[in-house]
Amino acid sequence: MQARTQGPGRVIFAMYVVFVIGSVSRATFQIITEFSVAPLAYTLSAIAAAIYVVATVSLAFSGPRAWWVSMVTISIELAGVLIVGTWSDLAPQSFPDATVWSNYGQGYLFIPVILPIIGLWWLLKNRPESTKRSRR
Amino acid sequence: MTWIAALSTAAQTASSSSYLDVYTGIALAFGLTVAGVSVIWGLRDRAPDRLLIGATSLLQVVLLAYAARYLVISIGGEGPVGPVWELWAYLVTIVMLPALGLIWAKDEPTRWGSFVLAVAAFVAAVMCGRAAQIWAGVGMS
Repeated sequence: MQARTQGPGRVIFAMYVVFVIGSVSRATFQIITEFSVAPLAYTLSAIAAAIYVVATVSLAFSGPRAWWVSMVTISIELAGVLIVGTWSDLAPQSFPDATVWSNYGQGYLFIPVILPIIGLWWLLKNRPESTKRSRR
Repeated sequence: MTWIAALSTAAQTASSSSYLDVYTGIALAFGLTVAGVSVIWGLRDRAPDRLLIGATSLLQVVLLAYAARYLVISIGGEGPVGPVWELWAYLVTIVMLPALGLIWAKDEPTRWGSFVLAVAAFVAAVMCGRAAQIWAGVGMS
Protein backbone atom coordinates (compact mmCIF):
# COMPACT_ATOMS: atom_id res chain seq x y z
CA MET A 1 0.00 0.00 0.00
CA GLN A 2 1.21 3.48 -0.79
CA ALA A 3 1.81 5.84 2.08
CA ARG A 4 -1.08 8.11 2.90
CA THR A 5 1.10 11.13 2.24
CA GLN A 6 1.25 10.59 -1.52
CA GLY A 7 -0.73 12.48 -4.12
CA PRO A 8 -3.59 14.50 -2.60
CA GLY A 9 -2.44 13.25 0.81
CA ARG A 10 0.60 15.47 0.48
CA VAL A 11 -1.56 18.59 0.34
CA ILE A 12 -3.63 17.42 3.32
CA PHE A 13 -0.45 16.61 5.24
CA ALA A 14 0.99 20.05 4.38
CA MET A 15 -2.14 21.71 5.80
CA TYR A 16 -1.80 19.66 8.97
CA VAL A 17 1.86 20.71 9.33
CA VAL A 18 0.78 24.36 9.15
CA PHE A 19 -1.83 23.76 11.85
CA VAL A 20 0.68 21.95 14.06
CA ILE A 21 3.14 24.86 13.84
CA GLY A 22 0.40 27.41 14.48
CA SER A 23 -1.48 25.63 17.24
CA VAL A 24 1.53 24.36 19.18
CA SER A 25 3.35 27.70 19.21
CA ARG A 26 0.15 29.58 20.10
CA ALA A 27 -0.90 27.20 22.89
CA THR A 28 2.60 27.12 24.37
CA PHE A 29 2.95 30.88 24.60
CA GLN A 30 -0.62 31.51 25.71
CA ILE A 31 -0.24 29.08 28.58
CA ILE A 32 3.18 30.36 29.60
CA THR A 33 2.36 34.06 29.42
CA GLU A 34 -1.34 34.62 30.07
CA PHE A 35 -3.02 31.42 31.20
CA SER A 36 -5.13 33.17 33.87
CA VAL A 37 -6.79 35.45 31.28
CA ALA A 38 -8.75 32.66 29.61
CA PRO A 39 -8.02 29.27 31.19
CA LEU A 40 -10.79 27.46 29.33
CA ALA A 41 -9.85 28.80 25.92
CA TYR A 42 -6.16 28.11 26.45
CA THR A 43 -6.74 24.61 27.79
CA LEU A 44 -8.81 23.89 24.69
CA SER A 45 -6.04 25.38 22.55
CA ALA A 46 -3.57 22.98 24.14
CA ILE A 47 -5.86 19.99 23.60
CA ALA A 48 -6.41 21.03 19.98
CA ALA A 49 -2.64 21.36 19.49
CA ALA A 50 -2.03 17.88 20.92
CA ILE A 51 -4.66 16.39 18.63
CA TYR A 52 -3.15 18.09 15.57
CA VAL A 53 0.28 16.73 16.50
CA VAL A 54 -0.93 13.13 16.90
CA ALA A 55 -3.05 13.30 13.75
CA THR A 56 -0.17 14.70 11.69
CA VAL A 57 2.41 12.23 12.96
CA SER A 58 0.08 9.27 12.40
CA LEU A 59 -0.66 10.44 8.84
CA ALA A 60 3.05 10.15 8.08
CA PHE A 61 3.09 6.45 9.01
CA SER A 62 1.67 3.64 6.93
CA GLY A 63 -0.04 0.55 8.27
CA PRO A 64 -3.38 -0.21 9.89
CA ARG A 65 -2.45 0.95 13.39
CA ALA A 66 -1.43 4.41 12.21
CA TRP A 67 -4.57 4.49 10.08
CA TRP A 68 -6.73 3.94 13.15
CA VAL A 69 -4.84 6.56 15.16
CA SER A 70 -5.42 9.07 12.32
CA MET A 71 -9.06 8.06 12.11
CA VAL A 72 -9.67 8.55 15.85
CA THR A 73 -7.73 11.82 16.21
CA ILE A 74 -9.26 13.40 13.11
CA SER A 75 -12.74 12.34 14.30
CA ILE A 76 -12.02 13.99 17.68
CA GLU A 77 -10.79 17.04 15.78
CA LEU A 78 -14.05 17.25 13.83
CA ALA A 79 -16.13 16.71 16.97
CA GLY A 80 -14.01 19.31 18.79
CA VAL A 81 -14.43 22.02 16.18
CA LEU A 82 -18.19 21.38 16.02
CA ILE A 83 -18.63 21.34 19.81
CA VAL A 84 -16.35 24.30 20.56
CA GLY A 85 -17.77 26.14 17.56
CA THR A 86 -21.33 25.78 18.85
CA TRP A 87 -20.28 26.41 22.46
CA SER A 88 -18.43 29.63 21.62
CA ASP A 89 -21.44 30.74 19.60
CA LEU A 90 -23.92 30.11 22.43
CA ALA A 91 -21.75 31.25 25.34
CA PRO A 92 -19.20 33.77 24.08
CA GLN A 93 -18.60 34.99 27.65
CA SER A 94 -16.79 31.69 28.36
CA PHE A 95 -14.25 32.61 25.68
CA PRO A 96 -12.59 35.96 26.44
CA ASP A 97 -9.93 34.99 23.91
CA ALA A 98 -10.46 32.95 20.77
CA THR A 99 -9.32 29.38 20.24
CA VAL A 100 -8.56 27.96 16.83
CA TRP A 101 -11.92 26.16 17.02
CA SER A 102 -14.04 29.18 18.08
CA ASN A 103 -16.97 29.83 15.73
CA TYR A 104 -16.02 26.77 13.66
CA GLY A 105 -12.59 28.19 12.91
CA GLN A 106 -13.98 31.39 11.42
CA GLY A 107 -10.75 33.24 12.26
CA TYR A 108 -8.89 30.73 10.08
CA LEU A 109 -11.10 30.82 6.96
CA PHE A 110 -13.09 27.87 8.37
CA ILE A 111 -10.18 25.60 7.47
CA PRO A 112 -10.36 23.97 10.97
CA VAL A 113 -13.81 22.57 10.12
CA ILE A 114 -13.07 21.75 6.47
CA LEU A 115 -9.71 20.05 7.04
CA PRO A 116 -10.95 17.12 9.20
CA ILE A 117 -13.77 16.41 6.73
CA ILE A 118 -11.27 16.22 3.86
CA GLY A 119 -8.95 14.22 6.13
CA LEU A 120 -11.61 11.63 6.95
CA TRP A 121 -12.58 11.35 3.28
CA TRP A 122 -8.94 10.74 2.38
CA LEU A 123 -8.52 8.12 5.10
CA LEU A 124 -11.65 6.22 4.10
CA LYS A 125 -10.54 6.34 0.48
CA ASN A 126 -7.16 4.88 1.47
CA ARG A 127 -8.36 2.35 3.99
CA PRO A 128 -5.88 -0.51 4.50
CA GLU A 129 -7.46 -3.85 3.60
CA SER A 130 -6.63 -5.34 6.98
CA THR A 131 -8.82 -2.82 8.82
CA LYS A 132 -11.89 -3.89 6.86
CA ARG A 133 -12.10 -7.43 8.21
CA SER A 134 -14.27 -7.76 11.27
CA ARG A 135 -12.13 -8.93 14.15
CA ARG A 136 -14.76 -10.26 16.51
CA MET B 1 -25.55 34.36 15.62
CA THR B 2 -22.37 35.89 16.94
CA TRP B 3 -20.46 34.61 13.96
CA ILE B 4 -22.37 36.93 11.65
CA ALA B 5 -21.34 39.85 13.83
CA ALA B 6 -17.79 38.52 13.90
CA LEU B 7 -17.79 38.19 10.14
CA SER B 8 -18.91 41.77 9.62
CA THR B 9 -16.32 42.97 12.16
CA ALA B 10 -13.70 41.04 10.23
CA ALA B 11 -14.88 42.65 7.01
CA GLN B 12 -14.61 46.09 8.59
CA THR B 13 -11.16 45.30 9.95
CA ALA B 14 -10.08 44.15 6.51
CA SER B 15 -11.34 47.35 4.92
CA SER B 16 -9.34 49.54 7.32
CA SER B 17 -6.05 48.51 5.80
CA SER B 18 -3.88 51.20 7.37
CA TYR B 19 -1.52 48.54 8.74
CA LEU B 20 -0.58 47.52 5.20
CA ASP B 21 2.77 49.10 4.50
CA VAL B 22 4.43 48.82 1.11
CA TYR B 23 6.65 45.89 2.20
CA THR B 24 3.68 43.87 3.38
CA GLY B 25 1.83 44.79 0.21
CA ILE B 26 4.66 43.44 -1.94
CA ALA B 27 4.99 40.22 0.09
CA LEU B 28 1.22 39.72 0.11
CA ALA B 29 0.79 40.39 -3.62
CA PHE B 30 3.76 38.23 -4.61
CA GLY B 31 2.73 35.37 -2.33
CA LEU B 32 -0.84 35.40 -3.63
CA THR B 33 0.41 35.54 -7.22
CA VAL B 34 2.66 32.50 -6.70
CA ALA B 35 -0.24 30.72 -4.98
CA GLY B 36 -2.56 31.55 -7.88
CA VAL B 37 -0.08 30.36 -10.52
CA SER B 38 0.49 27.14 -8.52
CA VAL B 39 -3.25 26.48 -8.35
CA ILE B 40 -3.51 26.95 -12.13
CA TRP B 41 -0.61 24.52 -12.57
CA GLY B 42 -2.34 21.98 -10.33
CA LEU B 43 -5.71 22.37 -12.02
CA ARG B 44 -4.04 21.88 -15.40
CA ASP B 45 -2.43 18.68 -14.12
CA ARG B 46 1.07 20.14 -14.29
CA ALA B 47 3.84 19.16 -11.91
CA PRO B 48 6.07 21.90 -10.47
CA ASP B 49 8.42 22.92 -13.28
CA ARG B 50 11.36 25.31 -13.42
CA LEU B 51 9.06 28.32 -13.61
CA LEU B 52 7.06 27.35 -10.52
CA ILE B 53 10.15 26.33 -8.55
CA GLY B 54 11.84 29.57 -9.61
CA ALA B 55 8.84 31.65 -8.55
CA THR B 56 8.68 29.89 -5.17
CA SER B 57 12.43 30.38 -4.68
CA LEU B 58 12.01 34.07 -5.46
CA LEU B 59 9.16 34.20 -2.94
CA GLN B 60 11.53 32.66 -0.39
CA VAL B 61 13.99 35.51 -0.99
CA VAL B 62 11.24 38.14 -0.72
CA LEU B 63 10.02 36.62 2.56
CA LEU B 64 13.54 36.44 4.00
CA ALA B 65 13.93 40.14 3.21
CA TYR B 66 10.52 40.81 4.76
CA ALA B 67 11.46 39.09 8.02
CA ALA B 68 14.95 40.64 7.98
CA ARG B 69 13.40 44.10 7.83
CA TYR B 70 11.47 43.44 11.04
CA LEU B 71 14.66 42.13 12.61
CA VAL B 72 16.56 45.29 11.66
CA ILE B 73 13.90 47.71 12.91
CA SER B 74 13.51 45.62 16.09
CA ILE B 75 17.26 45.88 16.74
CA GLY B 76 16.88 49.59 16.05
CA GLY B 77 14.64 49.76 19.12
CA GLU B 78 11.14 49.67 17.64
CA GLY B 79 8.65 47.04 18.65
CA PRO B 80 5.27 45.64 17.71
CA VAL B 81 2.07 46.90 19.34
CA GLY B 82 0.92 43.29 19.57
CA PRO B 83 2.77 40.44 21.31
CA VAL B 84 6.45 40.11 20.36
CA TRP B 85 6.37 36.28 20.54
CA GLU B 86 3.43 36.14 18.15
CA LEU B 87 5.14 38.37 15.59
CA TRP B 88 8.25 36.17 15.59
CA ALA B 89 6.26 32.95 15.57
CA TYR B 90 4.68 34.20 12.35
CA LEU B 91 7.91 35.48 10.81
CA VAL B 92 9.87 32.29 11.54
CA THR B 93 7.04 30.21 10.06
CA ILE B 94 6.85 32.51 7.02
CA VAL B 95 10.49 32.03 6.08
CA MET B 96 10.24 28.25 6.51
CA LEU B 97 7.13 27.76 4.35
CA PRO B 98 8.48 28.06 0.77
CA ALA B 99 11.52 25.91 1.65
CA LEU B 100 9.33 23.21 3.22
CA GLY B 101 6.98 23.39 0.24
CA LEU B 102 9.86 22.98 -2.23
CA ILE B 103 11.29 19.98 -0.34
CA TRP B 104 7.85 18.42 -0.14
CA ALA B 105 7.02 19.15 -3.80
CA LYS B 106 10.34 17.68 -4.99
CA ASP B 107 9.16 14.26 -3.77
CA GLU B 108 5.85 14.68 -5.56
CA PRO B 109 6.39 15.42 -9.27
CA THR B 110 2.65 15.48 -9.97
CA ARG B 111 -0.13 18.07 -9.88
CA TRP B 112 -0.27 17.58 -6.10
CA GLY B 113 3.24 18.98 -5.79
CA SER B 114 1.91 22.16 -7.41
CA PHE B 115 -0.98 22.27 -4.94
CA VAL B 116 1.47 21.91 -2.04
CA LEU B 117 3.35 24.97 -3.36
CA ALA B 118 0.02 26.80 -3.61
CA VAL B 119 -0.74 26.08 0.06
CA ALA B 120 2.75 27.18 1.15
CA ALA B 121 2.61 30.45 -0.81
CA PHE B 122 -0.96 31.27 0.24
CA VAL B 123 -0.34 30.61 3.93
CA ALA B 124 2.90 32.62 3.82
CA ALA B 125 1.08 35.55 2.16
CA VAL B 126 -1.74 35.56 4.72
CA MET B 127 0.78 35.30 7.55
CA CYS B 128 2.65 38.37 6.22
CA GLY B 129 -0.62 40.29 6.48
CA ARG B 130 -1.12 38.98 10.00
CA ALA B 131 2.44 39.90 11.01
CA ALA B 132 1.83 43.47 9.84
CA GLN B 133 -1.41 43.55 11.86
CA ILE B 134 0.46 42.43 14.98
CA TRP B 135 3.11 45.08 14.38
CA ALA B 136 0.44 47.79 14.02
CA GLY B 137 -1.78 46.38 16.77
CA VAL B 138 -4.79 45.81 14.52
CA GLY B 139 -7.38 43.45 15.96
CA MET B 140 -5.78 43.42 19.41
CA SER B 141 -8.13 43.31 22.37
